[in-house]
Amino acid sequence: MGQTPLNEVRLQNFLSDYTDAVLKDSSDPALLLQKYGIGAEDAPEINELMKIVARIRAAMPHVSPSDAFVAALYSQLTGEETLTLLNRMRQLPRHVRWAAGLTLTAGMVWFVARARREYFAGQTQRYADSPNTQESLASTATA
Amino acid sequence: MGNEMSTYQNYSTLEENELVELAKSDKQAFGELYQRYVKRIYNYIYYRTGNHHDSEDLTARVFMRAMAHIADYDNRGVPFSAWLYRIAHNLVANWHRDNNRHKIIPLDDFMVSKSPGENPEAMAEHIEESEQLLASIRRLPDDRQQLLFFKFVEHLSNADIGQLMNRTEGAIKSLYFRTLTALHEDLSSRGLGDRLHFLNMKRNKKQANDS
Repeated sequence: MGQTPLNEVRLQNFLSDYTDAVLKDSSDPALLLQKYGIGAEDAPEINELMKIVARIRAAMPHVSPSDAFVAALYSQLTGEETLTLLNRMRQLPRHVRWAAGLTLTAGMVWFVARARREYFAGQTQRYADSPNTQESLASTATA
Repeated sequence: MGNEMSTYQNYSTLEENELVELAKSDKQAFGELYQRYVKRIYNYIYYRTGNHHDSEDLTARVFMRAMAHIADYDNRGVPFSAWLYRIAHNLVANWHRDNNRHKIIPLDDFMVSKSPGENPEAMAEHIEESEQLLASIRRLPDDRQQLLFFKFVEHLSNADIGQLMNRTEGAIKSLYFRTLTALHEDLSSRGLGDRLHFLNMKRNKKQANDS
């Protein structure tokens, strides 16, 4: 049974079927080559294209957006805005989020330190101003 | 009111055409369309831009634009996804024009995390190989990049791809063949065909030794 010369349409069909098989993990190249009557004389050229198919498959996996992004955009589109500030922050570039986080932390540290200083300054002042303290200072001075 | 309630409950079971009609005046219906397509659009943009941050930004813009113009959407037998892909395509084209990022776009961290169990050397080789191949793919004309995306990422049939790209099944097969040939020529002309082949052989040999 003589095969017709390998024309481009046959090659197109072969590569299409081969790719589908590779993507379904059910590739049997030998069987497909036989089905399309592709012989050894055509093998080098086709072999190169078959290798490229395998490489593309390895280089193009399915990727997923983050759940936070998907949820935030859903809220934005449907008007179900929840945690708006947080969602917006999540969509900022990483370095901006870091900068915002550091600024926020530094601000809180500064605020707590200031409040603490004022609290102790107030306590000291109150202690110094209290009558007991004044009396004890006076008795110490007369003694 | 009862009708409205039942509509709310049945969004996920509605046919695409019905949902699109509802989405013209109902944000929740649009939300259902969004849920159906967000990952596909995100993937499309990711493989055209090469990084997650811009992919998120452009994906958000695609759906914002779609929502703003869905009232003008006219179903002419073309899937709704084709309309979304067209919006995505235009935004990606603008992104490339504005940022002039046609050349080398590094794969980001995702690719590194996709090959668990491999040693660092094999992982580095895999990444290098993928980067070179994806760079080559991004040098292809838009329609060929789209075709590879639909085939390898979405796993669509030639008939479905033809519907999305407004071509016959035969034309898709022909375009695919020419795309593979062009990729082979591009890789060979840069001396990458041999390099990639060498990396593959090295990896196969190592795997054989390990087993």
